[in-house]
Amino acid sequence: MNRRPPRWLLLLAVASAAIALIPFGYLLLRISDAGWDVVWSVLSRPRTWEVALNSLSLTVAVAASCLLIGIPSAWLVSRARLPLRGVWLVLLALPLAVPSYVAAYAWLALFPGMSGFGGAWLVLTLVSTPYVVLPVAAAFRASDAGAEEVARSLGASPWRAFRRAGLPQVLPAAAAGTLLAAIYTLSDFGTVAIMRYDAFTRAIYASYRASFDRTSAAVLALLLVVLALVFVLGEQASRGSAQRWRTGSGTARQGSPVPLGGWRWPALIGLGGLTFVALGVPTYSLLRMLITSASANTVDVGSLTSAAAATISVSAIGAVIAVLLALPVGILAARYRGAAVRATETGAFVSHVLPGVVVGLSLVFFTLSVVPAVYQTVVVVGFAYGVLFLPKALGSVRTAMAAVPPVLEQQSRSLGRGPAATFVRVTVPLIWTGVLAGGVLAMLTAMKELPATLMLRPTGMETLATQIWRHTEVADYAGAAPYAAALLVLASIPAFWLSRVVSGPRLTDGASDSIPAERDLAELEVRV
Amino acid sequence: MTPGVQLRGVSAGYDGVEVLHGVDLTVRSGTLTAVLGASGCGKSTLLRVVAGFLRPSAGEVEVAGRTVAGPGRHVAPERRRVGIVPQEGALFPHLDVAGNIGFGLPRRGRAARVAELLDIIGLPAMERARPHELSGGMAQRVALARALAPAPDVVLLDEPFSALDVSLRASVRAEVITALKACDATAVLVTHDQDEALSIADEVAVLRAGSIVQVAAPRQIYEHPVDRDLAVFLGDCNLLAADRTPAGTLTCILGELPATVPFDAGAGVAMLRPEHIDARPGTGASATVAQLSYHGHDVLLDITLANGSNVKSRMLAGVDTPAPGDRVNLHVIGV
Repeated sequence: MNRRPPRWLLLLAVASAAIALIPFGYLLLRISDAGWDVVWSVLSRPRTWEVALNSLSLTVAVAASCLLIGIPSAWLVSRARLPLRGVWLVLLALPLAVPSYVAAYAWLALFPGMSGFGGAWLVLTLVSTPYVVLPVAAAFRASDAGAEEVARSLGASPWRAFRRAGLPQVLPAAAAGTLLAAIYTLSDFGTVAIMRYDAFTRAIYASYRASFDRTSAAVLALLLVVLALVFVLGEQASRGSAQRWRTGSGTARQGSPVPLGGWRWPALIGLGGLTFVALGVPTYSLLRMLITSASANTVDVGSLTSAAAATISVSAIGAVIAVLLALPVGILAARYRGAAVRATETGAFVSHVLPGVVVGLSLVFFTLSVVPAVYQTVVVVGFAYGVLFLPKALGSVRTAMAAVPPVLEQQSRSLGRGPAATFVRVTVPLIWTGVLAGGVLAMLTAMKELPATLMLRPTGMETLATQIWRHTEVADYAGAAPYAAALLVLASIPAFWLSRVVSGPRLTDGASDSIPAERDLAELEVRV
Repeated sequence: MTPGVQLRGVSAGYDGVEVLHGVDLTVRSGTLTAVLGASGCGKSTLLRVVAGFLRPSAGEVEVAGRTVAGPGRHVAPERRRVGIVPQEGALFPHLDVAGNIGFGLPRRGRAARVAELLDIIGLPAMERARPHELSGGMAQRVALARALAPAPDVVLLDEPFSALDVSLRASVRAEVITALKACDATAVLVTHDQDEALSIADEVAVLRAGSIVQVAAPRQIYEHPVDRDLAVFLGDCNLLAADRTPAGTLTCILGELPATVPFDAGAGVAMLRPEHIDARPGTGASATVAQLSYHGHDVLLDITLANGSNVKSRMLAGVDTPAPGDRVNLHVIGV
């Protein structure tokens, strides 16, 4: 931990971070080229502030509803005596697997009148409630029931004990989860576009399409990035305090499940209702559309296969790029400290703040004016994925590397193996599953990506996501159904593999010393 | 004979903070030297310097007569022929026991050497076991076998028993010592446990705040520590005001002490271990037992003398053990 990183590793990591910074850097360059008066004219338009207000009010509304639904649900599945507790937790987590635009499309197909704020609010709440439920449930499980018991022994009523001793233990996790939901809402393109709600992402896409006004798209994009940055910083801060929360070492003792008594049926009805709207309705709608489309014999098997093939190949390219960029940065960040290391890691994490629509827009500018040869090619789509999902791959690589105690590498050196042989014989066998998981995770997320794909894909190439979009845009809901079903099936394969890798046994005992809540948060990020 | 390890004026540290200040240490070939010190005194840093994980900022390190670190010279860890057994074993989790022990061996003859070492550490037929299936003591023995396998010139052991249960520690310790002797290995063991250092080492080197205080055989260092702090660090002791007589003996409140009792002429203090004071009714300075703490095999008595000063006495527990309040007479034995 004390040594300076080898120069070649630092160079590779800096290069990776620099590559990851291209979209953001080019966006800034483009805006500064346009000049301050142009920026000012965009900022002084009432329309700009209308869009900002729209985005913010949707974000706040979704965050609030996620929090209000999330905490009681999390408590029920982690603390209450409930039949089939494990099943409920899975059902509450499952909406994460549904891309937001698929959920939006499914709802709109059933209720064509529900577009606008209400529709976007409902759909985004349903798909992002798991961001609150999972970390809070984990925090409830990890929190020490002892604190509540002590409160009871000091004369507090059960409700007061919960409020004063139980609830405070999960608040940091709830705050982190709510902020994740907010970030997701702010950068989501699919739902607001399908629901025709004028949030930032939709406005950026619209002014990009109106190709005479690309600078205003860039300014809007920058504004969105600044807003997202505020939320990301808040999320990181609250996650930090979530880690500091437990006092003392040793295993937190689980309290015995709380009997619900007369509240049992209302609780079950609530959870059942939530599952019904979050999973049941979209599934029903999708099946209905699928049957309509199958019975009308309108399923175009040829374009379905080519869209699936395009989805797999482009997202695989993106995953490879993401892992290649993540490897040097992840190894560096796990092993060394210092200003240079921190700067590199922060640079690589910048994509956290970049919504897909922003990366798409910036790469359109970049390819057109710097490398026109790759404009609208598979390469640039893969590159966009690589940059967008670098943080996911980086998290996995870093975790895998951090789980390898440096003492193992020192052992190998003492036993006569040089640095290269040590890397091949000790480090690689220990990190490869983690690295692979990072790649699969990046690929899984890339398969569902919509806005950057829409803006960057080669003319004539359609992925499953863009096909869903194309059909939904012209209200051909039945036509979109086969693509949506195919996407859900395809995405579930890597998701299933990942859930087994992530929850499988750890390689070393040393890796399991993080507290459960922290691990579940990391796991959540893996799934998202 | 060439020493197994020789340190000359070694200083080292991290990020500009010096932890070791000019350490000199010679470890004779084929012996076990314990480096004893409180936590944070630089013991692990010393091992890291010898192993080659840390470059000393000054001084020289020789292993079996070869200079491995010194001005302008730094031999990489893999070329030092120095084995190391870290605190918690640190077995490679992706390899089985045979894979771990054979890690540093060439392919030729690997299997035979692994079998030989498994015999030495008393775990035959465990080749295929995975590290997570081993108990703490087994893992520690496998880690030792792994370090011994390439027949290194010296083996370094970093608090190898501190992670083990107390009940297990003694037996694992004995097995490790047996294995080291069987391989005729030169070994340096660092520990913060005085009993451990005194009971297993051929020589004990005490490290305090990055400097060597004394290097000597266990009995020598326990009975004749070079200063008061070391005397206290190595075990309970009585520090009694004393004067040297013309004949060379010492006089103190307990009477006349032989010249062999450690005496700090500057402070006028003599050092007596509690086990050297016998407290029973009989002859000698009279005193009263103030407190007794019972340890099973022995008792530690806190005794108040007539002039109000206190001494400690350790005696075997038995039917004649005095009780608090009893009047006893103190006499010095075994020095």
